[in-house]
Amino acid sequence: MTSTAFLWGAATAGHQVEGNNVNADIWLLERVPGTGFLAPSGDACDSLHHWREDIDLIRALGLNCYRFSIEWSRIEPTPGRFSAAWLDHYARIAATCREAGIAPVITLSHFTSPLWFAQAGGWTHTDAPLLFARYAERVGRRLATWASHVVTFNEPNLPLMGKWSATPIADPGREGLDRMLAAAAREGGSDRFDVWVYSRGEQAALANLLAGHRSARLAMKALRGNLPVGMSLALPDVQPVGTDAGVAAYRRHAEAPFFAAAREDDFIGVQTYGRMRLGKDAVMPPPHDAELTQSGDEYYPQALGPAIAHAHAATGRPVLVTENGIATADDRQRARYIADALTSLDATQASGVPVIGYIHWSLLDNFEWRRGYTQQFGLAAVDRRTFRRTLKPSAKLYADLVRARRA
Amino acid sequence: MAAMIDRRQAIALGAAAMATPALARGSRDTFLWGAATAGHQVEGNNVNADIWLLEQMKPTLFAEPSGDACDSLHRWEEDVAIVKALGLNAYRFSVEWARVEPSDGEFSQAYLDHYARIVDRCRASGLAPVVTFNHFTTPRWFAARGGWEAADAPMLFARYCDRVAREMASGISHALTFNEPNLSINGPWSRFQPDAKARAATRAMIAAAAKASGSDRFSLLNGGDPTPMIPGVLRAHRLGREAIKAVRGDLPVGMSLAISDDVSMGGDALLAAKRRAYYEPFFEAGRDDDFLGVQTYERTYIGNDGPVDAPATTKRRADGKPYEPEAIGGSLRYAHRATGKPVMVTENGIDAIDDRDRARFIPAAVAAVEAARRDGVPVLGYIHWSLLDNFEWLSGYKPRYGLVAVEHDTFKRTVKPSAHVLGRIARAGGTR
Repeated sequence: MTSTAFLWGAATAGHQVEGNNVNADIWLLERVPGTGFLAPSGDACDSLHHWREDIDLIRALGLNCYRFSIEWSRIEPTPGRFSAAWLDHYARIAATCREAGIAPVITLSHFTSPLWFAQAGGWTHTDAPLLFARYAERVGRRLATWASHVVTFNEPNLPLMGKWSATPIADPGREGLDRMLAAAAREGGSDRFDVWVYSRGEQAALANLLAGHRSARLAMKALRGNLPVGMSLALPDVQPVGTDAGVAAYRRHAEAPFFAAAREDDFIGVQTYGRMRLGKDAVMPPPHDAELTQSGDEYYPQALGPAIAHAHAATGRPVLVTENGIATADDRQRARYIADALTSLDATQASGVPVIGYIHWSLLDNFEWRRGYTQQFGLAAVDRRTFRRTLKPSAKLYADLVRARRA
Repeated sequence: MAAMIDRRQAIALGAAAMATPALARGSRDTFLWGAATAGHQVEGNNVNADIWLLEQMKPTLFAEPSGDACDSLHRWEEDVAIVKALGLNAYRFSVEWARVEPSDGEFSQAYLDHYARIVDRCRASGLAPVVTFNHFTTPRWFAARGGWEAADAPMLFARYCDRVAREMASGISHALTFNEPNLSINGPWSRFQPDAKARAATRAMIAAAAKASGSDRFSLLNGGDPTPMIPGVLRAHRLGREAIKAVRGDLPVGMSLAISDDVSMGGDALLAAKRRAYYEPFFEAGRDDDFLGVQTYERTYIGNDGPVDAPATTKRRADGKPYEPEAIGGSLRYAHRATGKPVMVTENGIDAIDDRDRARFIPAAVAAVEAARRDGVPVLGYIHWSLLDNFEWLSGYKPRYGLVAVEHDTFKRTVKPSAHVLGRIARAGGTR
């Protein structure tokens, strides 16, 4: 079942495309007074009903892989009660992929958790690893036979990336995040509301999360021993600025615990968008003459190769690029980005680093969390009223580049 | 609070969702033969609804949570296909407000599209879609802000009705604003009075839901003292009807009421009092409606001091419960006489593990409807409750009202023999 062919794909994530994910923690955060979200997710791309069209896009582009995520809050709407109806839904997606010759790369947790999980303290709760493993086991029972690769967590290192220094760097967003989480706790009548991606990344919670990762992997492996399981990390190409740059401290903090866990995995998922220039205690802004993306980040597609090489060197695991892409309203910039990123990928592969596949973020223009719908990462545009999908020229270029490499 | 624990509620809340609306425009004279469902009872995973929350509370009065129900959220095409295959010409279903408006003022085009697809599929199959806009459940946010006790609740309901109507009114056959809004005040007229313990349990359940919603005013019609809610509901009906009519003036709009066949056993004064309190405020609110939906499951015998047991001569089922399929005839006659409106049987059915009971019940009930028609009562249709064995509210999945059985976990539908009894009647245009 596991494909030995190089995977060429595109990715989505449940909360960002499905719409109406009303039982998820982040849905609530979007709506509390003083929310940090520019807009609520609402219907997103209505992939809940239009998922067949999404798979059709993958096929039309000649790709052989689709990464999507399972929404825990749908599978387990209340603690311990699992929804066969929603498991069936995701099984239909995976089966439809397989019928189309598309390998389903399945993410178990893409930032969102069920409301009840956040209200119980999220990953700060000592039961969290068990709860996550139980969920993973149920997903595995229904979907393991269809899955090509399973990603337990998406970018679990994110909350640690802003706090890498011995003297914590100022996080201007922290106070707002804390207020938002407190408001969500009040709305649910609980005294806590913990959402990992917006948390302070406390060490005890991190230990729980990594235990959850291991338990989920074991649960999957018990169901299907040859199913590759890993996690995806946010891995910018970290570059020092100045002689006293805190690169080592950053890596100890935001990478090392995850790499250690990943050494037991089958692969490491790499998600790279650009480089991170580190000074002593601060992330440096892009150079003044740098080309920027829609999100204000530096246009730096050549980050991909070094990030892949670093992840492999740190873990010894083969690399699956589970995300790489660019926010841009100018689709020609995306086309350039893809070509440059794949050139970087080629060079890294040529140097002998084992790479399993490349999955572009994202298949669709979608809900980019706190930035709402202002960021266009998609190979396809989505009309937010009709949900009609339209492939962009960059998608066609990507298809051409893939075809050339598969030939 | 009475309603939440009343036995009639426990059974009929789950069992009370049948409707029969008329066919498409231009075929108003077609008698509707249908089967009914309701969103929360069949869709599954209605997580944003008030009642879903109540099911999860500790304590809860619900025997079990609704969970996946019949997964009609994904399997509605099968449901429509079954109605069609049986030879019926109408399908009554409800739109879940909690899906269409997941938070206050935020409407979901995705779920409006979903329900519009069901309407379209009915039409493409030659079925008249009878659509209920509110079948007991409201969104959690609506309950958390005070439900029908909030001064602006009727306006919010009208806003929701407007949005749904704009999306699908052109395809709907008949619209029902509310399902059995009077059931909530059935308490005094029921033989099954909640005891102090049951009342306390209801209060505790609602209090837990309030806490879980960070609210000090969590309120829903079938879960508290309905007295202060009824004026809001009545006004919501009027505003909802006006909103629907503003979109499509010729769409027949009404509401469905729980109407038992009330029989006086020397209790004429009390019967009159029941009618004044339990039906007439709703008749008054529906004065400008096009029709009235009638939902009947039993006869109620009213003595001098209150409801009394059925007479000894009453036919009974194996379990001793009265077997009175002809009750629907009496309630239709009364409803028409009291309102002057055309009436539609929007629910009528029987909780029967043994499907032969249902197979016997259906022709007898339809015969009672036909007798009323012969006597001049304008009846628009007969919609059986229910298409599917489903989530019967407080009673969970134990009652079996379905023409079709649904397997737990696989959601496989199996048509029962009684369904074909109704189908044959529909194809023949009646029992004779």
